[in-house]
Amino acid sequence: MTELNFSRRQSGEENHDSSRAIDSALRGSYDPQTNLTIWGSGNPVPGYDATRRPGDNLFTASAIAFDVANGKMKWYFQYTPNDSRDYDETGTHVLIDTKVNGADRKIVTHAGRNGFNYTFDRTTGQFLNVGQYVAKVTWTKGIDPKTGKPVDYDPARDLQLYAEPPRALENKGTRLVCPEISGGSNLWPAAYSPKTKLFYIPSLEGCADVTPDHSAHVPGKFAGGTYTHPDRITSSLVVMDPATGQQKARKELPYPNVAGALSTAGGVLITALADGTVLALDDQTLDELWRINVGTGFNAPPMTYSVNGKQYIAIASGLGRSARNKLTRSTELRHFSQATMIFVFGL
Amino acid sequence: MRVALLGVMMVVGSATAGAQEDFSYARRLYLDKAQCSYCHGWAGDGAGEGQSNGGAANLRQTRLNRAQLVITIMCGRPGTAMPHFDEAAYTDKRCYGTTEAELGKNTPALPPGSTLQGREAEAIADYVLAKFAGRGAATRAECEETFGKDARACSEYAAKP
Repeated sequence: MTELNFSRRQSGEENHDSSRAIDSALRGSYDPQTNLTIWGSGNPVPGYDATRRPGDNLFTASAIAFDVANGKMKWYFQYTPNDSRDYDETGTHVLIDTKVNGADRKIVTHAGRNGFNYTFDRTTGQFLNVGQYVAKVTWTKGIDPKTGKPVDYDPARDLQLYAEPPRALENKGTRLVCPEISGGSNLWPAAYSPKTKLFYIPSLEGCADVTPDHSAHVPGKFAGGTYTHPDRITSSLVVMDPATGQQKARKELPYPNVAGALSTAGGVLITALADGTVLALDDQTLDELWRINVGTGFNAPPMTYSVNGKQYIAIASGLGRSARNKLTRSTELRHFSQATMIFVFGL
Repeated sequence: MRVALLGVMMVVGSATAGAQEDFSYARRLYLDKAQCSYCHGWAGDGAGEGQSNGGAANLRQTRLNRAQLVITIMCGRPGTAMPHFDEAAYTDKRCYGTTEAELGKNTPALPPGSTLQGREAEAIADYVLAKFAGRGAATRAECEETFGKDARACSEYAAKP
């Protein structure tokens, strides 16, 4: 087995957490064709205070492919070296067989929490393309289409500022970060449709005021600072072409999406919002086909199944507290109720 | 000697009666309905979830009295992540004599749990004063009182502080 430990350059400070192992909040993807399992990894901590952990902090915020036969790491790609915005990349890494520039390729695509969608050759880890899907990104001026690294990444620096102001690293230095600390996409799944060969990303849209606190790294706390939402968080449904990195369509939605997306063979895309709305959209135009609001929010992905030839859509309701924390500026929902139910609809 | 022993037994007896005061209602409000624990931690020590806003007060070191705790719960703290649990806060001047129009982006947000009635905020304030205020580090006994005996989450706390 390959054991992955948090890397940091020696800073002269007390060595709090140099042996902290990399964690992953979600399970990886397994590819029987290549016998690889591909995992996204967590962010470095203290999350908002990079000064305690100079260096790239490999292998945090990365995609990592392991050979199942021997447990050895086959390849890796780090999305945001020395992150200080809680941009972990434990969200789904989706395995797709498709044509890229006319050639058959085995690819893996990932909607990064940092606001960009990345595609690799999953056999070798070769970076293929990247595209921004979140409407507003402030932390970087963009991703280099040749390397996949942020254009403002400087490997010679101990601490990465990217496009942020110097106070981003300073004690109590508040700055606005977009996308907000949850992303972008996160643990809820994006959907790939073999019918359209497109990738559907349910994305949060919004920003957070993030404030590092250099005294906050104490037992029991690992955020390294604080954040607040100065404005409401909304969402978008973004359609990306994983073969090119091009954005094909997007639809802005008024409430956070912390549920996920589901594509169907019939061309109907299902998604759900934190205000209790279930939406059926056309998988080409994103035109709305149907909607219902059930009065309690969704924090679980829609699923589908068939019984005696009739196809159903099922979705569980009930917001976790981190999901509910995305509604704190949606003051019209102050009477919003919470119920844990399973709702089933005929497709 | 007998008299002295009787005195000790009476003290122990009254302490036991105090410990058995039922805080299960307030604990449910703190942990579930209001989700105070999301930011302040189950033990009130400010060690909330990593995804929470961070910087929550350590309630074990609070110097607020009951009335001040209730106001802080209902009105939040402007300019910080402490939300308001009074659903009508800042729609009029009931909180600190100010409104959302005056505070702008410094207006406390809605909570990650439900809003509360005044009597619920009072129950939480009593819980904070009884179970957190003036106490040192969280103990396994407190953890088991909160989550039940043999709760897996309690194993990280030393059996005896």
